Amino acid sequence: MKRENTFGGGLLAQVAFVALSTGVYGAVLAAWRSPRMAAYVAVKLPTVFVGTTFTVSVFCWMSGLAAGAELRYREVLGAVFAAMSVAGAILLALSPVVLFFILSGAPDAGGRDALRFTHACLMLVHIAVLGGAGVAGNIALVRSLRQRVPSRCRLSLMLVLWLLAFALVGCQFGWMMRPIVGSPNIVVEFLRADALDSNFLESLFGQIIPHFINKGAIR
Amino acid sequence: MNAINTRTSVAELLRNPDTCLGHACEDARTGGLTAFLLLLSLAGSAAFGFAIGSFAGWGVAFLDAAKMAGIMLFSFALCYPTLYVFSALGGCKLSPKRLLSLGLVPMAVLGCLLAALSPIMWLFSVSTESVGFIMFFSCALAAVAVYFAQRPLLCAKERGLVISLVGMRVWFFVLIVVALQSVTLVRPMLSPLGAERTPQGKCFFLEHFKSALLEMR
Repeated sequence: MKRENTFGGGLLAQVAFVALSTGVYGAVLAAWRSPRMAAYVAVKLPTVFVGTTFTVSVFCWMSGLAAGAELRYREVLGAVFAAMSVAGAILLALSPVVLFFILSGAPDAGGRDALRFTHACLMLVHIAVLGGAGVAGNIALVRSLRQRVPSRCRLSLMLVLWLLAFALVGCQFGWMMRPIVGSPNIVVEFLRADALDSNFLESLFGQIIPHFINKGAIR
Repeated sequence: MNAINTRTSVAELLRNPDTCLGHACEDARTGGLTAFLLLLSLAGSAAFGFAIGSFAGWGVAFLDAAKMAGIMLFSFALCYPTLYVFSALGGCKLSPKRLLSLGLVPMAVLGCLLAALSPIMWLFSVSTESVGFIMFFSCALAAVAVYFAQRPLLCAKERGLVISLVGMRVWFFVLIVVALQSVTLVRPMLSPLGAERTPQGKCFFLEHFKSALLEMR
């Protein structure tokens, strides 16, 4: 009973905090494109984070049992959302800084190439911030799991499976929720008309990788 | 440090920043210390701003002094939530009020060193007409001050205030980047009030610094 209180307790508060922090960062992330886009992404980014977690949670719980972790479903959710709260806290802490850079440094007018360059720079900043927050969250997850699981648990295998599941589902959720950063040359909309027409794996192996291979062959 | 004597306190801050950190985190009353650290930080940056602005005359010198103090204050205020969260992630259990004092220790060291470097900056400011050189030279001197300013943060771990310094180091890096962007925001720093901003419109600090450095050729 004590174990559940410390590890799976306050789950609702954790989910709310993750939704709030990712919502704030989502609004900041798309603020450069337009206020409407910021409002859209303030809803979409929490959906990606929370939706991904609930989608993979059953797999995480079962793979944890198979790896010998002996965690209850609620404890798995608690551990994951606690780690996401760490990432959320970092996103929330950096939101004013990123917003300051967007408002003071990112040109919102100019030629097509200039806007594309700004868009690319902002993408890099957001990848660095989200990536850094993700790494911190994962470190917190590993530390907390190490203290909870029995010594015979194959923790590395379990974490690899969890990360793969999160990466796969998270990328697909993000793909469906496009646009998120908001390309300057594409109209602002909540979801693209072709959101459900393909998945990110089809795009990755059907378009992106062949594009780089063909470019390499021409050279 | 409780009964603040400016000369001895500044010396103590530079010689033993960990003692100052201890006062900030353990003393019952920290209001006076906080105000003292903030004042040092603002006064030092204002002096450095004055020295930079001397390049374009007295008017710009006073204007840049105000700008630099404002930049320091604004950057710290904007990054304070980051400090709170990142230090908490590093195991810090200080209250927001005590953390304010802790965060101001490196800022005060930065201010002291900027003030100490101001005469050198002033000497070069009044003896050149190259904007690029002044930009380069002021960045080089500021880098020296920044190097010494981040050192008190190391003492936070030695005193057991944090378990990991990663968060503090990231905060300090973010603070410096925000300060550089703030310099870009209030440009021009080396031209009279009302002069044309180059580059025009919004831009990131790297673009601004690059355009200024290109004038050195």
